[in-house]
Amino acid sequence: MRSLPLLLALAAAPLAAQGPGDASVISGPQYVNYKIGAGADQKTVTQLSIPIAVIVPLTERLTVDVSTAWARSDVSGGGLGGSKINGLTDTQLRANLSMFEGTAIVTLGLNVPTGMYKVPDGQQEAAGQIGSNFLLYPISSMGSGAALTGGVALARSWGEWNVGLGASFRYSSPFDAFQVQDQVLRFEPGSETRLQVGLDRALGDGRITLGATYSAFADDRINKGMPDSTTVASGARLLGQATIYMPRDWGDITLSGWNFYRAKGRQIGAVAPWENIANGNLAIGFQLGDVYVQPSGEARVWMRDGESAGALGTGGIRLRFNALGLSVNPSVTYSIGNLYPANSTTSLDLTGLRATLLLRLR
Amino acid sequence: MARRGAFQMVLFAGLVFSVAGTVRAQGATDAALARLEERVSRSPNSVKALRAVGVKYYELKRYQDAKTALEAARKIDPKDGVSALYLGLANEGLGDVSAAREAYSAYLQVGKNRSVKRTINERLVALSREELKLQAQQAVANEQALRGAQAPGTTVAVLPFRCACADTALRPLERGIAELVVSDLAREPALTVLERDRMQAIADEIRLSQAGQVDAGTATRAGKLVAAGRIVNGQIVAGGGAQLNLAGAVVNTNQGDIVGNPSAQGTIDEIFRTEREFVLSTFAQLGVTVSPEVRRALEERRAPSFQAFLAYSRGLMAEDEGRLDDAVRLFESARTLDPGFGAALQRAQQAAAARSGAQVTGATVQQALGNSSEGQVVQAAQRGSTTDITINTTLTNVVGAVNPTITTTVQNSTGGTTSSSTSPQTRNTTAETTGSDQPAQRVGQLTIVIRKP
Repeated sequence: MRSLPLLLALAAAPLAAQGPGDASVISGPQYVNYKIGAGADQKTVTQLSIPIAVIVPLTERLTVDVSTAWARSDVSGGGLGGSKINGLTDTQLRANLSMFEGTAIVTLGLNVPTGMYKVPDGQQEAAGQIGSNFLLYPISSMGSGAALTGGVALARSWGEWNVGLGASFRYSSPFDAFQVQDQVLRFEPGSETRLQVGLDRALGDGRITLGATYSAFADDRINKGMPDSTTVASGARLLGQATIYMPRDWGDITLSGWNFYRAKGRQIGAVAPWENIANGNLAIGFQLGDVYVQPSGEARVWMRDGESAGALGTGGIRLRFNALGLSVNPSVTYSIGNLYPANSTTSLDLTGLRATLLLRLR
Repeated sequence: MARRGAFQMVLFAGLVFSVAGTVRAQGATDAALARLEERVSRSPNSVKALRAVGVKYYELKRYQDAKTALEAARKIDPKDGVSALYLGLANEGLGDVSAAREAYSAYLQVGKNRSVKRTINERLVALSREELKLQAQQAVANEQALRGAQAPGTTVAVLPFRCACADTALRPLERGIAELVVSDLAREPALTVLERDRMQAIADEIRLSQAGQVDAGTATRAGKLVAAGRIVNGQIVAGGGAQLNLAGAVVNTNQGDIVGNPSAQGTIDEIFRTEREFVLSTFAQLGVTVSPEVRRALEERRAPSFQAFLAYSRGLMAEDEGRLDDAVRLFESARTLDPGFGAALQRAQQAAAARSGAQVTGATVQQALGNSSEGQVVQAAQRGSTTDITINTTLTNVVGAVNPTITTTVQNSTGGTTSSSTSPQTRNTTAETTGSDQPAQRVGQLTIVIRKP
């Protein structure tokens, strides 16, 4: 074990020596634990995930990245017998081709179904809970079948502003989603169309970055071609993001926020109400010797169908330093908040702990 | 033995990786430069291309090539800050301090980065000191050519005073009194009085090349070197006890003769009154009729405490000798001894800036540029790209939004804040369909209805 750092350092060298294609490897093991409710009814959702991404610039213009993760999710308490799911997630391959002197990128993505897309009975609760848009688990899905994404992004300067535009189309193939005893549910996710507008410009010594992403989905089909075939619809999504980065003599200030809106849709046998999640974050970074220290505070509010669905306040600290050729970014956050079950005015307490160790090998 | 062998193997592997890394870095640098040169040959009037190749040449210490490219860029777009900044650095690399100062001054006008501007302001203070020294060296080197030159009689320079003092602790007053006399003579609009620092540089240079007393001949020589028609050559006489007198000679550098001997008498406690009398006497020897306004200003001038002035004078001496740490400390000490001593504060700030400016290098400038838009232009040039790296960032953000993967999430986390998570990028299709993604649902239930055929 004592030779591990040396091995890591030596392993980094060949990656860094691939001519113009400087490869980099990023990994960020993350542990998340949320406790919802209190007493005997308290539900605990835990996820441990180890994502890994390898980015290889094959040529000056063509970059390929491959990413996957191993994740283990547990749901316990809350009147349930417990639900667990663990394993590899889907593997995502992406190729980005830069064109027109770096002002356009054509992007192609392939989702290889290496993950746990067919979820057996006892694992469904865990597989579902990690999909929360409010609690945002690092791995939100264990698998979703094969899919192909093609898109294009353009950017140009417009006075002091950089303006970026992007569009993509994602086709997903059908897959066996659930297994209940010996029966399976065949699921075909609807195709997704995405549009993105991004703006950024210098702001004093810093930068302001704005973005809006719109996603629309075709109907999802369940058991297509079978007598019990049905369709559901995911509401269109609009995500707005803003970041202001301000360097100061003593360090830097980052103010960021995002707002996520999902329109009303159809679930199996029910209406999926619209929801809106707003999030704001303030982080202050400074150098303490060789270590960059960044404490932060964050607030998140969730509305569902016009009613409050939850709120979350988070405090945390992140460090960044270099060791053995690695950029090491450990962070820990603690959250306190509440959640309202659908159609209920009684809130449940919510606490959360999140610990991350991001490593970048370059 | 096996452990030793393994250790040697690891050392050898480390050496191979290190050499390979160096060779690769050199290869990447060559390729980056070749790309930029090719871009310039295709678009010789492209500011982006000229600027980028100039920055790259500077990085490779090819200062003359950098200067040529960056001057061309500045000719096309005088408002380009990065070109001005790197032209300043390239000129410094070439040892051309005046051209560097000019380019840096242009950056202060057109540059965008406050942090770099602060760094450059400090560098300019340090450069002005270097420039004075270089000018003095050049003046001495070209002395033959100046021999017959005539300077206007209204241009006056004051040599450092000489202290004929029993107490050597008073010696720093040589600089302090000269400074006071310069600033008081400069109150009279009819005269052009050269800064003490400039005259001191000449005096230092003459002393370096020729030791000896400052007689009329030496004063004439000094005056010729700074193109001053009149030189004030003063002496502090403090023979012990409380008496302190000032005596001097006004030398006509065009004729090489003494035209007057200003003087004033007093005690140490009256040093500022004595200095004022000396200045009025000098005005008379220079043939200047002092206006009532100037006379009143001299009389109303606030005199610092003697101890503060002595500390200030020691600070000037330390500054002249390049001991900037001592200079800052002494000026601050003068300010502490007399909080109303504004000149001490000003000098302390100036010396502190000169001290910081002396440490400024291309690397510190680049550090100050950071990830600002100008910094990203420089980083792009170093990689051999003329495309503003901010466009790259904009594009990367758009790609991350339209085709997100785990890579996007992890990359955002590496560069972002402690935000407990990134925003929702993808949907969990099946969980959304069944509603099992709702965290506050007490029981998750999936019912599959299988109809009988």
